[in-house]
Amino acid sequence: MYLTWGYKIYRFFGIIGIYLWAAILLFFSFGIFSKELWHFDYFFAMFILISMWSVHLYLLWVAKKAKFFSDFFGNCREGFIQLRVLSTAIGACEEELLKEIKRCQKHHLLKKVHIVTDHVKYTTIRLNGPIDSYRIKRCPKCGAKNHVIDGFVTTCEYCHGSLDK
Amino acid sequence: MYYEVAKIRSKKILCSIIIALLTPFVAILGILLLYVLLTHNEGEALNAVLAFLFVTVIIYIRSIRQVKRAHIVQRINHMLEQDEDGLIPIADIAQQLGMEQRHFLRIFIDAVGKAQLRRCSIYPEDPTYIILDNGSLKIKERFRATHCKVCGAANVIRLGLDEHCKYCGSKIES
Repeated sequence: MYLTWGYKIYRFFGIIGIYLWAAILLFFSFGIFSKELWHFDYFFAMFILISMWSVHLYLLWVAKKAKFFSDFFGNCREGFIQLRVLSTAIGACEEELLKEIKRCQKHHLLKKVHIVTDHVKYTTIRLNGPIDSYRIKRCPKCGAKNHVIDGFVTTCEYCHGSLDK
Repeated sequence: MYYEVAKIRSKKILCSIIIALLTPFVAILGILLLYVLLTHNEGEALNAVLAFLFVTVIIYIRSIRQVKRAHIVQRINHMLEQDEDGLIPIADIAQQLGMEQRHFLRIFIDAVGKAQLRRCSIYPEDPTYIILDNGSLKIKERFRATHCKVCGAANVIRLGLDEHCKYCGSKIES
């Protein structure tokens, strides 16, 4: 729900990992049998292959995190979630989690996810928009004013009734 | 189904084949290593055997781990399928799988991240539960605020799942 096309591209490149593995093993096997190969070129090629494989693993790891966050945010029916709730859910500290979400954003894997820190330093993840999408809506049942975000299912804060007419 | 059948099955079959092929290979390499060590034929032969053994053992262990993971994912899916209300306590699943909650969470997050498990995630309103969803891409097609026809209480229900009023317990039609 909150994933971009970047995620699909990252997953597609995941297939390359198998070929990289195979290439590393092949190089390794050749290197064992013929010592004539033990030159700078051989070690350099090996180094490049291992580096590429490490990068590939890192990208897959970021994509994996993005998919989990997207699925998790997909069930936030009110359109926002406190970072500490997410931290409790995963069992990781808030700073670490914040870094992971920011990393996913940096890689353009998550869309419509905004991190907002308020004046008491509570970090909230707002979905869809940072603040512009918030609007005031009167409850049709009790008439109380409620802050709602478009596209989400919000109930009245006071009578818990539906805000949709 | 809450798991990617093709993905999990193919992984299980592939890794099982690798394990079946590598088991005699590891045994032969182990015997070779013993032979090389006993005959004091050290040098190139020992290096080659050690290198091969190292690579083979890594692939072997990795394959066993993958098969075990695939099996756990299938068991998790079985538990999720049996649930009616779509909210399953994490502690219960961990207990049934016979593992620590922390360990289970790690496996669950990994499986969801790799898209092996689908239409399920940790419940944002109570992180001690796993929530199932109907797979829709819009929140309004997943949840709906409604009133119970029996007691009139306001409830937020998940569409496509059996829901009961949280006050009187009567079934709410989605």
